[in-house]
Amino acid sequence: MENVVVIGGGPAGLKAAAELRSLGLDVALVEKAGVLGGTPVQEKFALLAPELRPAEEVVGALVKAVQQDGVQVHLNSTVTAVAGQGKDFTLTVQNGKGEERLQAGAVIIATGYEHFDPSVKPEYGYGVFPDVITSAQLEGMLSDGKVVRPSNGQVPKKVAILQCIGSRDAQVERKYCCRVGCVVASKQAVELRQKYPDMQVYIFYMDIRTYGRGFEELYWKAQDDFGVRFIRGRGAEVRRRGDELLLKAEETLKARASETPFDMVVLTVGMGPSEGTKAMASLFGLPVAEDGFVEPADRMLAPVSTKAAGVFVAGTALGPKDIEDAALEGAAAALRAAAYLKGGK
Amino acid sequence: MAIDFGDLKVYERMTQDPRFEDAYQGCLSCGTCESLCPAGQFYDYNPREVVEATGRADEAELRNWLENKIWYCAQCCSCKFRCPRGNSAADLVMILRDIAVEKGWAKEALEKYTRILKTILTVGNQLSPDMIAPDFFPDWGPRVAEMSKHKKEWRAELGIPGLMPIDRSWAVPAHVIKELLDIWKLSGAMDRVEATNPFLVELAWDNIEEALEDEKQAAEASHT
Ligand code: SF4
Ligand code: SF4
Ligand code: SF4
Repeated sequence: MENVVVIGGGPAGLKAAAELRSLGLDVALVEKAGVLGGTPVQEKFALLAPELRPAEEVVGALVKAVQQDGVQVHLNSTVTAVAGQGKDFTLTVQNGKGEERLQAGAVIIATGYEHFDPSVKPEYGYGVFPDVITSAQLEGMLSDGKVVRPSNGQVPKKVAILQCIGSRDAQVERKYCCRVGCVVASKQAVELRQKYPDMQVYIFYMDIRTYGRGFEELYWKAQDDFGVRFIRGRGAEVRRRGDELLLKAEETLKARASETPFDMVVLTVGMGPSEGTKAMASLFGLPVAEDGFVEPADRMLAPVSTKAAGVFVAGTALGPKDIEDAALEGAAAALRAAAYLKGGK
Repeated sequence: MAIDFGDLKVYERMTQDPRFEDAYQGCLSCGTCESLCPAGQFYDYNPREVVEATGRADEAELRNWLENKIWYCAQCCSCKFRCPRGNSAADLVMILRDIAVEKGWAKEALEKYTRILKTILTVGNQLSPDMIAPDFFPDWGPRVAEMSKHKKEWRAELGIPGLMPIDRSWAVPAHVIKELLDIWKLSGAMDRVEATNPFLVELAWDNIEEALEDEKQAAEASHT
């Protein structure tokens, strides 16, 4: 059967579905939410690093391709059971109205990630002090065109962005790097400074990791053109004094501990496997690695294949990455699935 | 105080300590430990330095710590429970302190704790109510200060036999203290005290002999 079911309608799943259509295969796309686009749409991403293009424009194009290419889209739907194997899967899909069955010769899992919940680390006061927000919340504010302190509705004068919250941290059993936090923070700082030239923006970091093409340039730009202040040291603790927040950190380059007042603290939260990713890994019997993400058949040689024949995986279900890389993996998984159905492996 | 380190390899000696494996994993140089360290607020002291010096096996720096800095730590363990790498500067400091004690380099630093050590060795517990005096705690305020003048009466009023004294937290029987001393001897703790303050060890054994004798006589007296 020349039919592929793609699970997850974010950048990886959208790209996979569109590419499968371009190869002439029938595609069903199953998405848990009521809209396509995945986390970038649900969390209202503003501009995308490093090109500072509106997320809407980029993700919108991916969505449009799927809608125009005759992909059969199932919104508000989750896969709850799978039967069969090889080239003959039957998936049970649950939606608001009931259950239906989808036949598939191959399956692509692109169920994505979930942001780290910083209330797990009470030292940052998230959920206690209203002006401590996550990078995802800031992104939503930037999209809405107004960045204000939740406590009083005023534009903050001095903002601290803290890197690596829920990443590179043995205390929460997340050793890995989120890979995008550094360029996202640089981008958010640029956006803040563009919009509010009087606002002081500080980024507290351990290492600035800007691996992608154009990422380092954006980091330089934040320093050169926008006067964003980078302080080397991990934000350690936030407390409140009156209506300001006090941030404890060591400026490690000066070997000096400091406690600095801010109006708003933004936590650059890491990525973990989403509930959907965990559920699909267990449903399809896929191994997950120590970091909780799906382990592909071979990280270097078969990065979008899995141990289960006919089951492929793409995007942040495989670990943190940016939209470009997620879409690339979606395309790669589409190619692998098509080759598999044509009798290859 | 200048220490003669002889041919001591500080780093090597640290790695032999059973606590070492948990205390040091590698360091992100993130500064979380220093940000939270109370000692760092008052002294030229930064727990990140001892962790990084350990990571580099930096003999000169570790010796520098052994000379002085290890005595600034309050052992509050803030560094330990927040370190994103799971290190414990607190334990590295403790390992270094043990080396200092063992080598007899801790005399000066531990001098001010002589009274505490003596109390432990002779009466079996460390804090005694009469040590906690208003002069040491000016923030108490007049009411608490006034109350504390009458500790003896207050405690007597409680009517709990073991809790009556004010020169110790509670009265430990002599034979129990003797057992403690024996345990400390067997475990090597007494050798460490001896390296720092030989007089104290002598005093402890003399004291316990007398105390046991008193206990025995008291027991006989109550039987007859
Ligand atoms: S990308 Fe940056 S913010 Fe994210 S974990 Fe890595 S170093 Fe930290
Ligand atoms: S245990 Fe020592 S080094 Fe660690 S935070 Fe407390 S005082 Fe500082
Ligand atoms: S908190 Fe841990 S990882 Fe960070 S500087 Fe201190 S010892 Fe190193």
